[in-house]
Parts: sequence; structure tokens; C-alpha cells
Amino acid sequence: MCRMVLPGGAHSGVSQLRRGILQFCVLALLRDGERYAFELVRELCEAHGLATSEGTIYPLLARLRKEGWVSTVWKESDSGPPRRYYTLTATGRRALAEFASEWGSFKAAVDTLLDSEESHE
Amino acid sequence: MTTRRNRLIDEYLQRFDNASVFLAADRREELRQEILEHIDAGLEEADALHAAATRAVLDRLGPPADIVAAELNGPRSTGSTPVVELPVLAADMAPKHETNDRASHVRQTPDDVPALPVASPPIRKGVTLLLIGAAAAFAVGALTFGVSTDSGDPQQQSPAIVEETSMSPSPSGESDSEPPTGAPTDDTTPVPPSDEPSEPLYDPTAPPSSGS
Repeated sequence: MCRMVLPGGAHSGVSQLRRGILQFCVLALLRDGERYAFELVRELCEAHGLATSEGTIYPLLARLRKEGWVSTVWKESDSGPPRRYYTLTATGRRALAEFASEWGSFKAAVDTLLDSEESHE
Repeated sequence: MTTRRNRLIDEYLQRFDNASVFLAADRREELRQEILEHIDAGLEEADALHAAATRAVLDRLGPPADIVAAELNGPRSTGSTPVVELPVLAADMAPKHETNDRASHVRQTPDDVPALPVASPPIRKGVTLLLIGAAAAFAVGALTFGVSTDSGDPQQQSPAIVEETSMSPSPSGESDSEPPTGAPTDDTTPVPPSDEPSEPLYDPTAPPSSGS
């Protein structure tokens, strides 16, 4: 469900790639508004298969907080203790926009190479 | 049922505590709190308080060692990755031992300790043993050397003997039993932490001491 299994050496390369990209996926999830931490983590892990386990997202969130790309706010909950919500900051929004523009050309270049490899086979 | 659920959570948190002793204290506490919130939210979402639901939430959360590894292996450029500060560690570990002792039986899972921290306790112990061994060899050597020089030329004493005489006022210190063991011990004890007293040091030197 959450874990991706890839053969041999591809695993470490993809996990590094995923690690670098995951932070921008967090920002992307926050683009449309604040998110409850638990939901954010679960959605990242479940819907996109981007993380190896839910717990490993929390260190990343802490780094994003430190970076000033996201901020947190406590909100009262009807059914339990206060909940921590994450919001995208202006700096985070800029970082996301920068990444999005880079990602387009990056993805296109990789796709072109992969496609040409396939056509050779 | 609730007791079993709580035990699962307690054990998980204990595993986290064991795996995260090398994190900065404030960051460790913060991360622990986030994990706890996640567990609560997961149980709330599952709308079930039985052990199976708890186990599922904990499984999705992943091994505590992975969480700590993510904390240690993340990109350093943000400056938020806690620095592993060795001098702080000894102090950090001391109060944590109290909580860890309570459920030390839980620590049977070897995967709980991340790569970096797992190396340090054995290394520390190894260094301590090495120092103790060196001190014992030093003490025995000093004793032997002291006996041989005593019979020959009492004026030409080695620096080791000088150190011993500084501890014991009498020049025939090797027969006073205690000072020869005391001097090397004092030389080496500042380095290792105090959790391993230098009892083994006394073993090699005890026979000559008690014998005389």
C-alpha cells in the first residue's frame, strides 16, 4: 500500500529522487488551503505512494517548517484534542512555483530519454 | 482490550525512545508528540479502539527506526536537521534511562536502532574497556618496574614511579598496596563516562596488593 518495491539498484536511485521531490508534493497538497497534519501525511503516503511509511513524513514537515515554507496552527477539534494544521507560506508558494517550472522541463527531458531508450529496444 | 491497545502504543513509543536517543532533546520531544498525535488521529479515524486497529495504525506509521533515520538522513541544507552532538549525548541519555528501564523488555527489536546511534554505545563500551585494560597494564608494568628499580638504583625512577610517589608519600609505595592501583586509575577515569566504574582495574593489581 505505502511501500514501493523496485528491483535492485533502481531502488536507491528512485528513493533519492522521491526524497528530493516529496517536499514539493507536500507544498502542492497545501496549495489549495490548510491541511490537518494527519490527513496530509496519509494522503501523501496513500494516494501517491511517495513515502515509505507515514512516520517518515514528520521529519520532512519539520524541515519545511524550519525552512519557512509551511507554518502550523492549532485548531480546536470537536472530537478530541486540538489539531495541528499546516499552511503554505508565501515563501513556500514561491518555492513550489519554481519547482513546478523546473519540473516541467526536467520531466520532459527524462521522458524523451526514456522514450528513445524504449524505441531502441 | 484497551489495556492491550495501550500496551501496543506504549511499546511503540518505547521503541521510538530507544531509537531516538541521539536526536536533540527538543526535536526528539517534538517528533514524539507528532507521532502521538498521529496515532490518536489514526485511531479516531478508524473509530475503533481495539488492538487490531491500533496495530494497523502503527504499521502504517512504520518502524520508529525509519522515522529517526528520516530525521537524520534528510537534506542538510535547511539547517533544521538535528546535529548529533556527542558531548550532549551522555547528558541526554541519563534522564532517558529512567523511562527506558520501565519497558526495557520491549527492546528486543533490533531494527529499532538507527544506523548511526547503534554504533556508539558499543564503541563507548569498547573504549572504556580499552582504557581500563591499558590502565591495568600500566599499573602492573609500573609495579614490576618499580620493584626492579628499587633493587637497583633508587635514584633513577621512571615517570610512572614519580606519579605514584605523588600519590603516596612513601617511596616504597609498591608495598603499600593501594597507591599503585590508585594512580593509573585516576589518569584514565576522566575520559569514559561514569556508568562503568573501574572495578576491573583492581583485579590485576589486587593480588600483589592483598598479598603484601
